[in-house]
Amino acid sequence: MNIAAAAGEHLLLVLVAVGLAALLGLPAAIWAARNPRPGNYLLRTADLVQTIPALALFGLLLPVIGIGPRMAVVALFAYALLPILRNTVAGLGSVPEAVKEAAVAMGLTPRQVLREVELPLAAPSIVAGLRIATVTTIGTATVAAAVGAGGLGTFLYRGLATLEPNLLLAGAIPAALMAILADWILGWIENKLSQY
Amino acid sequence: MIRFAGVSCERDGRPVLRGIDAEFRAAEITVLLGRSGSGKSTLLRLMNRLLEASTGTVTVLGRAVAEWDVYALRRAIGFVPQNLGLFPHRRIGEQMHLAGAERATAGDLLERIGLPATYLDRYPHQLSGGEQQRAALARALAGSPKLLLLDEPFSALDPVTRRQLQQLVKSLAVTTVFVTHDLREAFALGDRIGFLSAGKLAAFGSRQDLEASQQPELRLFLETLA
Repeated sequence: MNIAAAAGEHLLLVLVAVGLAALLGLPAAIWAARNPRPGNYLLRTADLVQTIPALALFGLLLPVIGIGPRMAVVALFAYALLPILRNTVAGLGSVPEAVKEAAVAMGLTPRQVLREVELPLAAPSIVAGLRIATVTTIGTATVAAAVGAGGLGTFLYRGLATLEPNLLLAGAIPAALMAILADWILGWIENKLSQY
Repeated sequence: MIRFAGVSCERDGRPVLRGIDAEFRAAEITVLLGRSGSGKSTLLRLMNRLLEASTGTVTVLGRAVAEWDVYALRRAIGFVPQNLGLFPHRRIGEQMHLAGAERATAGDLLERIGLPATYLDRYPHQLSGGEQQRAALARALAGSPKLLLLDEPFSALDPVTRRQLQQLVKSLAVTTVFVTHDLREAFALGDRIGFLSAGKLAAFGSRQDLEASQQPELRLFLETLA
């Protein structure tokens, strides 16, 4: 396998996992922010998932989903969920009460208040959550090679097995560059959204 | 214009307002005066249903607030909270548009409030404190409301700017309910003044009525003038 193909696989794993986590995490976080008590249980459950080591989580999912990229995506999704949930809840919580009250008093519907006021003001924090999720998932996804999901981890495992440093570098360097690039791009977006 | 009949209000199981009967007349500025925690901000928020009465009826523009479509009720009422609640991420013009003003009328309105129309394209943080108060007032007026509710909007201003804005409010000729804990401000602005003490309307009338009142807490307020 060449490096470019492995990097492509790796990126796909990350994008699908983080994309799904964002798709589910954002509405869940909005719900959790509106309903703090049950919302807190949701956040704690996500906390708990975070404490399971990646290899152990793969092992737990093995009998349910079987080996391959699909299982890797499920595990990576579970890890990506927490930073997205936490940062979205924190972002929504940081919107000043007076601003929300003024929006409600203006006659805006709850949906309009969310769209016009709460989400835009929480956006930098939400993107910061996506940024953490993306960067950590790029790293964690290297473990996915252990369950036959491919990606840059393939080189790492082969390098470890054969004690071949070039193979280790072929996996580690592109993964690191990918993480740095993702961090830079999402950091730039986060910064743009904070400027007004 | 606005009528309270036997209104009480509880918040977190604690009574905040008790047995309020009052009428706020059209084309007048009614000031609600009282110490912190006397219930004046709560009373104000019952008018646009930011809060709901526990018992009694609040009637606005001839209809009980509970019978209004809540969004229509709020659009008919301009509101400025104590911290203004300007949206930090939206230009003044965009905020006025959200509140119901077209760009051309928004510019005119801004000039009437004493800000240049070019401020439509500014963000709140680009304005001084006094300018932000004016912008908040302009946004509250953007939907051509029949009623204006102001909750201590000028408490953080220097006395000169404060005087200018009080005069501006008087010149608007919109039915206004103005909350303050400042007796001088109440006398400067109010056609009529309601004095709240521990959730009850302890006095309600003209400046002369209030000056003649023997209500002990109100006497303490009046002594601060001497």
